Amino acid sequence: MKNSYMGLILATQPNKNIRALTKNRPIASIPFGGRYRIIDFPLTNLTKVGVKNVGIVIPHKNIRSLRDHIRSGQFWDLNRKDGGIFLLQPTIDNAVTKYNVENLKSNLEYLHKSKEKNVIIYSSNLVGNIDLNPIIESHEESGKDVTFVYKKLDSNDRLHLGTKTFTLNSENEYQSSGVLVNSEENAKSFLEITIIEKSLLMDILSGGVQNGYKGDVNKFIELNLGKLTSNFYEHTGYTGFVTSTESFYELSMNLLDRDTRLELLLSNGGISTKIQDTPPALFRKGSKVSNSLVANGCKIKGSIKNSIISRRVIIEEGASIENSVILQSCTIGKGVEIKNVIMDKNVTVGKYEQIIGPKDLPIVIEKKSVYED
Amino acid sequence: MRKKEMIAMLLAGGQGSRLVPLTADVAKPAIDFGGKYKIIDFPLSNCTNSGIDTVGILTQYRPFLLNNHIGTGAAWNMNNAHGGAAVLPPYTTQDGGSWYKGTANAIYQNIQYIDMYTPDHVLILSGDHIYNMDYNEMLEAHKKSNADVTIAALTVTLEEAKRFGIMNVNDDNTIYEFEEKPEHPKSTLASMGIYIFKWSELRKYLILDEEDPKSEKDFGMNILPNMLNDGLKMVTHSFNGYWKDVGTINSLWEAHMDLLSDESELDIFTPGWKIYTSGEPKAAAYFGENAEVSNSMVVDGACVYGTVTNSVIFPGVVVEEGAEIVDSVLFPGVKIKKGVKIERTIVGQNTEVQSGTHAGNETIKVIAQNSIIK
Repeated sequence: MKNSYMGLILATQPNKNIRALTKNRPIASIPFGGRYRIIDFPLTNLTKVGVKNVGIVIPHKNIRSLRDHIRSGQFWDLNRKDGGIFLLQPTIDNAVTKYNVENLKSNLEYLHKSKEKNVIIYSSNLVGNIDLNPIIESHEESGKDVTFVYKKLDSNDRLHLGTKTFTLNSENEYQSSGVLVNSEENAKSFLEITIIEKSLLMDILSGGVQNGYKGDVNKFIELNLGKLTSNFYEHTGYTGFVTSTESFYELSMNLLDRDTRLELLLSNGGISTKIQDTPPALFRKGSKVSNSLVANGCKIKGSIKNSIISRRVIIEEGASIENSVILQSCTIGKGVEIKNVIMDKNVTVGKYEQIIGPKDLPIVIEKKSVYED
Repeated sequence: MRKKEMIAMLLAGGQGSRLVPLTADVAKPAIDFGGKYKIIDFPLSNCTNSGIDTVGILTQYRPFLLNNHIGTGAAWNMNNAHGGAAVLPPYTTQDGGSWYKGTANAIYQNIQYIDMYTPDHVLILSGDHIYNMDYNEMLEAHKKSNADVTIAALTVTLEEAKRFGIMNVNDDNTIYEFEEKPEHPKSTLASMGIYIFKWSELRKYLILDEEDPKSEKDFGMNILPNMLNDGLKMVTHSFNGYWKDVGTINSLWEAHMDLLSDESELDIFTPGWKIYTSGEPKAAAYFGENAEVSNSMVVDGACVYGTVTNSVIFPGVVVEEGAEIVDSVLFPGVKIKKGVKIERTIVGQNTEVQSGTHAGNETIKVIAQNSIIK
């Protein structure tokens, strides 16, 4: 059954609210949880149900880190003779636009050549360990043209702001949509997972740009709902979109909650990612670690509290890290104090520096910065 | 088949009887090491790091885990279109076939495999040593000296020399005498069991040895002495780094403690010398509110809520709050419950220790895998 589905991951999300972390990379390849990248979630969820052909709609620049992460797709069993990973670049004509519809239109050939009958469209910035099997079953049972996946939000949810919300009628059919500006109890937030027959998607893409619309393929499908029948599937697990520095920080810190961590990273056989064979973390005498995640390759002499420490981070003696997310290969010098900070890769902080951000609004320190007297 | 200048043959069939009970279900080279590796990862990674891309891995005892670990060889960059890693178990022929009867016989039975690559030289390795070594340097020395055999050599103490194959050499490092485990060693130059042979010579001697009914079919006992008697040129190649045979529980434990020691030369963090391994990615290690960790290695996939001192913790291990681990090695999936103390002990895979104090002394204690200790 699942061999009739291909994946289409959209890695073209706008990044204006998360600039520092996306200076050199799309949101899709922001490091997450000590050793993952955000795109590991869609790649793992798709391949776990047997999808063997995945196209990734990539932006026109800053994709080196994404390519380096994905390689030939071997970590998700996508290094195949048939199918596998396809990075769908925009053509020169539309290189200036980040709109994925334009990109997809120039890659119709790929869709045409793919032998699968159906397409699962998936946004690359959705963090969530989602079993797609029941969604596919719901789509097939419904017999409808399109299935949209949504989630009912809590009143204090801040991880789905800016998403599309659906209003459905009593028959669970599409009525209208809006944008989630403030969190709203029971709002039906679109998780940007869509299932559609490939031929319908190609018809829509090649059937003329309605009103000159250039934008997101999901919006494009929605605009065609007059002609298409739709099914809505409610997902109830933990999810969140990385759209801003705040949501990235909240999603990261939520990993320190045991249940969230188990569901997100360990359930369903875990999340696959690029393997680097980094040696274990080494904790020296005098180190202190409390309520934190520490990845392989770290050398720790200082103290860590309520933080997430990615691979190969060095924390010297007397240094203290609190409520922070430290990305890979940073070096924190002797006696340094770090609090409420997101530190991008390869940052060096010299002896006795102090970087303290406001609570819940962490300071972002850009990649390769050097803090020293 | 593309010609290869040198291919490696890795002897990985060892039963590891001195590592019982850890080797009840797996061959010695598949024993866990260093938080995330298996012993065989060290010689295999040495091959990758030395630019050797074709390795025959000879398995015999309990091969399933080992076969599964090696897979396509992709983890060591050996899933090549030309060459790569090949698992070579004993096989049957028109004449019946047989088990591998000794180190030399194991290679003899795979002459056809080696011939496919028409190598000039063959590197013989064993799968039970922990060390980082550049085999390419050894090959260059071997070619330069135009030796028929080059043997990697380590200087040991006079006492240790009794347990090794000892080589007595001339000033130019050519070997004039080879003594297997001598009672009164004349030198302290020990063979590391790592040999580079000219394939044409080795091939000849393997066939001759196979025809000798009195032979033990062993490199140290038969092949090397025969070659020396016939006047072949045998040269030593000195190695100065860390090297350890982890064939006993105590030595396996010592090698883990060496990982934690600043003085030890064993370093798995060497830039440019990655230790490759296979396996699924795990989430980063989690440390609870009251965890205490000192001078220890903890790997992705472990959860520590209690106290860990001078120990190596593998993936999937859970150390509960109030549990204490000292000078110990916890293999993958071990669960240590509240109030338990573990000291100078190796705990086998997936064992759950529910209560009590478990401590070794000069003899390191070992708790068998897949058990529940109440």
